[in-house]
Amino acid sequence: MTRVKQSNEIVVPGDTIAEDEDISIDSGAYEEENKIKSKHLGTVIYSGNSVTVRPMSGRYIPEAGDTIIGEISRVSYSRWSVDLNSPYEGNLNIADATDEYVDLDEDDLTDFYDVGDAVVIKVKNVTESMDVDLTMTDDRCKKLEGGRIVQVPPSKVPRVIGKKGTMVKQINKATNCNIIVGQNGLIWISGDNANLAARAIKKVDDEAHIDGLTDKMAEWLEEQTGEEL
Amino acid sequence: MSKQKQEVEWVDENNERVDGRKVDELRETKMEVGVLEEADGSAMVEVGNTRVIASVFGPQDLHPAHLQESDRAVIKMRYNMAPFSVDDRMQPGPNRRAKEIGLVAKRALEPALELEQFPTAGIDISMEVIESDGGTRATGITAASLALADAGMPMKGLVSSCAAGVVGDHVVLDVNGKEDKEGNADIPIATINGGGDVSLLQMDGDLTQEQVEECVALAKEGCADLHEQQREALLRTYGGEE
Amino acid sequence: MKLNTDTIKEMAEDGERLDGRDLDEYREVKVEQDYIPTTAQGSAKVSIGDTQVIVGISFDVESPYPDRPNSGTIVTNAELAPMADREFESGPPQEAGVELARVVDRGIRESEAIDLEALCIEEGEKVYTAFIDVHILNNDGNLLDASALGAIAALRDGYVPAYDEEEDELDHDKVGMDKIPMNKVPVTATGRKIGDTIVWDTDREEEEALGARLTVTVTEEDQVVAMQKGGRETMTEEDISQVIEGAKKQTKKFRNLLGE
Repeated sequence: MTRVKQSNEIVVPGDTIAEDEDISIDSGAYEEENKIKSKHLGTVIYSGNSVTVRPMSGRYIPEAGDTIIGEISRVSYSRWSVDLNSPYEGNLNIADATDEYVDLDEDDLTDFYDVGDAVVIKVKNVTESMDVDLTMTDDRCKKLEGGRIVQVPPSKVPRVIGKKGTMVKQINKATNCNIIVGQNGLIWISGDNANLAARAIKKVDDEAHIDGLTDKMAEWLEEQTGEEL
Repeated sequence: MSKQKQEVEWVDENNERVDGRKVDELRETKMEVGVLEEADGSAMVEVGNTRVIASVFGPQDLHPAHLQESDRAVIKMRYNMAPFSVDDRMQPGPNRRAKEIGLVAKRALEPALELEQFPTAGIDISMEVIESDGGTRATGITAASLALADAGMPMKGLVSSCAAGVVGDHVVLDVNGKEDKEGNADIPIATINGGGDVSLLQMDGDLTQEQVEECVALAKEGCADLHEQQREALLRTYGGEE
Repeated sequence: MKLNTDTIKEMAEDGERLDGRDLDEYREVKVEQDYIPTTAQGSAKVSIGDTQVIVGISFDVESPYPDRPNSGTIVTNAELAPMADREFESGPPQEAGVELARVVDRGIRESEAIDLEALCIEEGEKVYTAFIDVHILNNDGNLLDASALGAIAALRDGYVPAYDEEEDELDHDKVGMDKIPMNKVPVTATGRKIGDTIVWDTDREEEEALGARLTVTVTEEDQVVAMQKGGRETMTEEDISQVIEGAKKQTKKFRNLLGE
């Protein structure tokens, strides 16, 4: 029973992670000839009796329950299409968009959301054929105004947020910016020092695989602002 | 063309080829991953004087819709030689050789990819030859494999590719431009995970079966060598260790 | 994204940019000559920020145009390689690619930068043709300036291969002329208008907010030899003067970089 690769080790596709081991695969790996091998360029993560390979990068694939940032791409008779920065588009039906009564013949859907609007939105449901249903009926959902949106690979989102939100909170404190992190890797920043927040997020993206990043970022932020966090 | 073909000494008494290599030696190879910002994944591979840049976009929306497949992603593969990549400038534009190479390269990479994870989506892979001295399709496949890994694609393993050939009567590894043009045969091969599964095999020349089998065995070794280098190149991007 | 485009426009009004640069500040510009040493007869790789282009020079021998029997010819071509941008599709040259090639070409042709008579082999019969091939690797905006700079850097790097009369073809193993014969060194810079503000070296995101642009090519004597206006919106006379003035300053920096 051998673990060929330890937790936090970086592996490439095809690398053997463990042999003859009694572990189950969470995601990112496959079994061949009694060996567990990696499917991705990524980091090995053991958790209890299962193993995952977390990819270094990759595009966003929608999952029910995700809160994400999207852009309205089309307005149809009774719904909106939303670009999620994914191979798959999302649909927002009227019933999920607003509590107000909408008369389809009288009212203009663009009064609610128009093409080009950026929104914080939630994934309600994803079918096997990748039809993605969205909803705005969560407290966090809203239309975004002003500010800017930056991008990181979805796999880096947990790093940008940090354990119990520690990473994003310290960026927020140092820059005095509102920051909303979408599970799809799109991140909205609004505030006076948005430039520094954007650079901080890019730094976390570039150095996500390094240990002790939270402390390193705290130091860096203090250097940049000349103030203690 | 009335130039008299000089008799080339393909392998001399020191066992050296026209560029000083031994018969089973790969040219000097350099690999760099993540060379382009916009692409989802990218890599540049140099083998001797041959240089190819590969890029991957995807999985992403695939248009037109009739090309989509309901249960898997579809690969669109492009192979192109930049006009300045050869001595006699190559006229830009699609050509049949490029289309064929695109197809065999796609087939070389497909068995390693888990396309079922992305139904209806498309994956755009591009191989640009910026400098050519033989072995461009093999170098392209090696680079494309790195680019796919860089893009986070789920794969069974990396795909590595090189060509063996026969010059004079010698079986040699990694034919360069001159050996390809004026030698006897050229046999490009691709393998998955540096091992035994062959996903690309082509040949043109005039050989006995033994020679062919010798070439295949030699090329497989070359692929295993390249596979190690591909691993190192990927890990280097993240400061990882072998 | 539209949200970013709107913010870029608002910030431009206050003289600010998303990445904190000044309005007339270029990103880091790098030029590497002789980037394609074995197959091109001149080459350069230029990067401006994350924008990357390679320009290669190739020669061939052809018959001259009938109305210019003792003049070599120039052909400029640009490839917006699909690898450079998710939006670039493979296929016949799109408008943007054709415009890019023609703008780069104009600056070199109209300034008579290349000594075309020196490229004549036999009057009326044989002349050298210089092919300038621009290959975009990564698009993060300002392809025009990167490509034009690459073209000049490649020409300055290049040589002319010898013409073998017996074989009636180029001998790639022999040098005909050590340097490509040039009279002038034209350099190009593009000023872009976002709202009412002139901005230099826009990145890809900023270009979504673009109203108009003016590309200006200038020689070492500060003579303006080529211009091209692009974009859907208009420019005022003040805008034009401002951009020409700015181009003279910006191109001096490029000249220093090239060691001219």
